[in-house]
Amino acid sequence: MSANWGKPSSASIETYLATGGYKAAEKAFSMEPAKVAQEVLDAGLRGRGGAGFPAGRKWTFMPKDNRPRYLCVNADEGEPGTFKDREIMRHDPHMLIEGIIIACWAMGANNAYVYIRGEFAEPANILEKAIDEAYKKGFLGERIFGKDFKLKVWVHRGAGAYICGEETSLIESMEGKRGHPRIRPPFPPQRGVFDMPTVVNNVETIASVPFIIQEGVQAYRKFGTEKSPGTKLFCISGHIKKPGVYELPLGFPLMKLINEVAGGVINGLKLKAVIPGGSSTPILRAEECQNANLDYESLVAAGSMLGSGAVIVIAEGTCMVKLLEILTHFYAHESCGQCTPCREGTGWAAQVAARIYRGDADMSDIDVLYSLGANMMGRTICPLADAAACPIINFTQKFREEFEAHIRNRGCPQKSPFPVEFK
Amino acid sequence: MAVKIKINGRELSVEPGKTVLQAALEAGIYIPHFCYHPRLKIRGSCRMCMVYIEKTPKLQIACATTVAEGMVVETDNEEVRKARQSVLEYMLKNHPVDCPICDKAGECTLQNFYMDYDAKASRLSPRDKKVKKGKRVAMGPTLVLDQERCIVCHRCIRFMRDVANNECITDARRGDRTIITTFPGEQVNDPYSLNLTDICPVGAWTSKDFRFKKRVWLLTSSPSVCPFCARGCSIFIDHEKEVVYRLRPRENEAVNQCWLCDEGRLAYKAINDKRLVRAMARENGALKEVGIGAGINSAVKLLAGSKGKILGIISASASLEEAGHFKKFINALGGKVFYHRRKQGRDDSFLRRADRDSNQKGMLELGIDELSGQDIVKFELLVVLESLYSEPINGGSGKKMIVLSPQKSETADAAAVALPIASYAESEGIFVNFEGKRQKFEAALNLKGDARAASWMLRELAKKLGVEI
Repeated sequence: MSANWGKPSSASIETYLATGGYKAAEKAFSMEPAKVAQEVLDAGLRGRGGAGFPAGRKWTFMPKDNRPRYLCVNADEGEPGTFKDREIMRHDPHMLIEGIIIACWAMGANNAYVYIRGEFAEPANILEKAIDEAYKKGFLGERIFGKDFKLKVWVHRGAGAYICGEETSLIESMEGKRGHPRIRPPFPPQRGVFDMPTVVNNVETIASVPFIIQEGVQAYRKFGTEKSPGTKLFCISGHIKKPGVYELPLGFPLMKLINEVAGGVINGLKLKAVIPGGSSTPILRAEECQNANLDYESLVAAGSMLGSGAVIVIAEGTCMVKLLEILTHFYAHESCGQCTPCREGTGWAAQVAARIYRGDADMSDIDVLYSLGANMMGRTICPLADAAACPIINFTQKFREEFEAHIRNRGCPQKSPFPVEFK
Repeated sequence: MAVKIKINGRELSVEPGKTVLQAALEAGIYIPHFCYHPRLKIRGSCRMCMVYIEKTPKLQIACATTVAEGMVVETDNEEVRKARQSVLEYMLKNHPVDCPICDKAGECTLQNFYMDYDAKASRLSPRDKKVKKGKRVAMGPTLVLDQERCIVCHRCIRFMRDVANNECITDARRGDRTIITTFPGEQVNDPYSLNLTDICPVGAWTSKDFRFKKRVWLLTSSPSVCPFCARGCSIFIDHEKEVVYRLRPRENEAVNQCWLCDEGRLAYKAINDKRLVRAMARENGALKEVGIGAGINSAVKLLAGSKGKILGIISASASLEEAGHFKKFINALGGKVFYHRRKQGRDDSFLRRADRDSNQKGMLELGIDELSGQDIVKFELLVVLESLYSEPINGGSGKKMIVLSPQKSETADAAAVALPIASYAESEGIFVNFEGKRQKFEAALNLKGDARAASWMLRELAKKLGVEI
């Protein structure tokens, strides 16, 4: 997937064509749409946005009627620690466009929207330019690939809300409304954008499609594990020597990524903990990481989730209370304000976490904080509350002694909450 | 085919497509809820109606869960009770809890639910501040909004958008800073705005008119029918010590569902103010207060001298009974009867009718026709029966008039004799609305001063004149 990254003018259509670009789309158009969807299903491609739902299955949920239908590509990449979709759009936007063409052919959609977060001005510009190129070459527009099939692709820029990465609020936002998640059912394939059947897929998911169609199921399944086939982009950040995006087969050992691929913990510090899949996934203490592999199943077995593949490395000497304060502040800021537990719970938890960090708290506040998280879990329309609750519950359980130390010490016992100062 | 479900062990047979909440409420099993309102779209955000459903991994909201064959629901187990407590705890986190000065206290859903389902001491540390929002924000000519009391249930937004068809309010900001506000430059300037005060489950939306006037638990609610237009909305008259403080819509699927227009709602003032409570008779050109007996005698004297030249004019908002008695009485004196209408308004697509009288249909049923200018000219003595909102009669001035009226109206001021009668709030009767629905109403209040029911007054006059009615 990242083969073309780093080449000179990798984003241009010439570079993409020179490396066999748009051949997969051509091949797909020689196949029955249902067969294309079946290939993707057989390849076992799972949603790369965080939930890991089989992509091909989502496509087959589209009703077989004559209503207009839409593909929405979720490029709202907002999960803290995640920056992979941005790189796809910056370095190889045509791979995404080709994936869109194949996906739309498979599900019979004549319009595709790329919902891109407002802060991604540069990737959005690159993507728009690439879409223009694809129109000029006839890969988009009327009668593409010699078939009576038209396809238009639109780039829709968001206004900077984390919640709009959730698929139903993304749909609301697309329609020009406030980004409030919808109650499900109905699910987007029944009623999505403009109340029409819609599939929402992550950028990386769609960008994985051309390879599957071009090289076939067997070639794709050579990578990864039985249940989590293929490669995935991992964003490694935090206290690490070589932060960045790495494409690795699923099932890759977590410690190998940290110690070998990314050069180890910064300044030779000891590893304290890892958040393996973006800030909404449960944190793993160093000892819990030792045997964990980066695939959907092993991380669940280790007590966390693969999420969006954002590996956040935390070195010894990091104040976990400070970290929780930062995270609770983030979720309090981003809660859409719709459901009671999340609206009030995130703000309250942020206040308590900040107080504990300042040392302006009692021991009972740790339990209050914990229960604020526990009472949010699973009690709202969308998973934002779960995401917010997750670090609250985990941090207060796994690092309780640090919280107690803050209260006893009337403040942070460390000189600085972080062992390394970032510029 | 009905769906069989079980709620709290009770087997229920439910129409398919219904939600668990609807099924439970219909079966008399109460599930607490804030954002759900039977006449508004489902929102599913307050999370108060969470219930346990067998074979689901987590609690489900009853308002958005459709019944399915064999579903087993628990609305009151330990898990559900704890979840409700936590929702209430979250709700009260930023709520000012200013019940002692809140108009909603006593009929507040949040207050009631706290007593029923939580009733625990707050865990909020005094060191955690509540989020400051707008207090007493003027939101238009009729409403004041307290954004801190608001629990963001979105009922008001859904009402304005989907029912009143006037999308003027929205929520703004996010998280616990969320507020309800108008769109930039807009106001809640709508003929149905005060319904927001009814559907608001807390004291966020308050009526400028009712604010700080009365603690609601002191009020008595008497059912009645609004006489302000031909719709005849079902209402409650809320009163204390013979003073009316507000009108509220009363649920009636066939007429007004659960809504009421602002005009009708604020028309209650006429029940309290400018009422005619003593008989008046003209002596030497000036209208003077007299006893009720003396007033009746003066009227009898005038009527006896004008037999055959009498014109009866009745308000089209008078009840069927008043109109029936009036017609018989005037006919017995050899006179004719016409009805008199208020100035017409405009139909809207919701409740209000152009016909501003509550009983024109009833008049026509009794064979009474509408008054025209020519009718007046031919007669010597006018006998006028007014109702609360009657307007002056064109061409009536200069004529000798006996006026039976509940109010100190222009017409009563010009009368030779004015006799005080009960308004709709103090009498019982029937209005026939524009669709032909006969709606009975009963007295909410006692008679004021010397006022009597119109029928009593007419019978008294007939007795003295020796005619049968």
